Amino acid sequence: MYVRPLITGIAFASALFAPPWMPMICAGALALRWRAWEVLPLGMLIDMLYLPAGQFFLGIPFPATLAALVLLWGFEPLRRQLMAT
Amino acid sequence: MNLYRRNNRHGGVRPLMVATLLVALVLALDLLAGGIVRDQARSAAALVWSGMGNAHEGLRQWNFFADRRELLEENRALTSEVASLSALRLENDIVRAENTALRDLLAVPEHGRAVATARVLSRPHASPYGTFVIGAGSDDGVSVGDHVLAPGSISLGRVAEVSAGTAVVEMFLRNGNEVEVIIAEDALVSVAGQGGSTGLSEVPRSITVAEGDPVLLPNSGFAIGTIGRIQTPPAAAFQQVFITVPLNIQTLRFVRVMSL
Repeated sequence: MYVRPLITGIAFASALFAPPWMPMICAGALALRWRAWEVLPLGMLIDMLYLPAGQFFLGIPFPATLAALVLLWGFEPLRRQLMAT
Repeated sequence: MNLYRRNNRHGGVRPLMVATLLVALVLALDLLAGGIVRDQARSAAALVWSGMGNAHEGLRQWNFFADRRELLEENRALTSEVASLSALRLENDIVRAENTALRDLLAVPEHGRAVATARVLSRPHASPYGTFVIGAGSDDGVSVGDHVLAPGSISLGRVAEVSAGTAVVEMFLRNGNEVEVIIAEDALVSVAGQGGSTGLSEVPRSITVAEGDPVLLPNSGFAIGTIGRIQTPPAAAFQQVFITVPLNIQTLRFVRVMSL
């Protein structure tokens, strides 16, 4: 019951203080198990804090936000199967 | 055929669609309003970073977890370090004085103008983009393109974006970035950043380089690091030169902002 808020808390705290793989793992875990809309603001926060305005990373605008979108919507079929059991 | 009944207790995809639309709206608002949302986000994060920095500093000074013997050993090590640093400082002062005298003699202006001393708010390792946030902004005279220096006139990067109280610094040696540098006094070569504090350059074998040599930015008078390691494959025309920043940028607490 408290697992989702706990992982979300860790994800947001690690976006500020930990290496990038930490929020990435948390976002992956959240998106795999739940329809975790909070992954989107997490990705957006990372972009807002660290990516200078108007700049791309490897040619991609808002990479963390886009990665969050891909995670959330990409895991939807798998999540449906998980939730169906 | 799926015999299991679908469990819909977790809700449909509607919250996801709403969140997606909201995020798109916020990003559009930020783009249209000239970065107002990211300024607010950074200001709020700056409060958290400063608070945690102060708490960390308090704990460090309190030395709650250190016992007497550890403190004595640390004291002894620090005393010897202070002695060696004092000697280096003396040498540095002499060289600086000589440098100033020569500059005056030749009427060469100093490199850059000090703009501000700023606290490092976010740790460089927290950013996936090779950036970090400092606690000085346009209110302190910081502007885009200013150099951000670590102790020892090592330029870590340049200011990429400024708000009132914070600025985002892009590191020269961030992943995927190429920067032109001068090594071996007059050889202009390209260095590929490998993540914040290390870089790699392929230098012709005809150029003589040595470990510990400074790596300078052209037309700035600042170094971005030193040569850490040199690998020369037997059959290659080039030698691989690894550039390192000779300090731990993850524990850096203050930086200087210089304008050229």
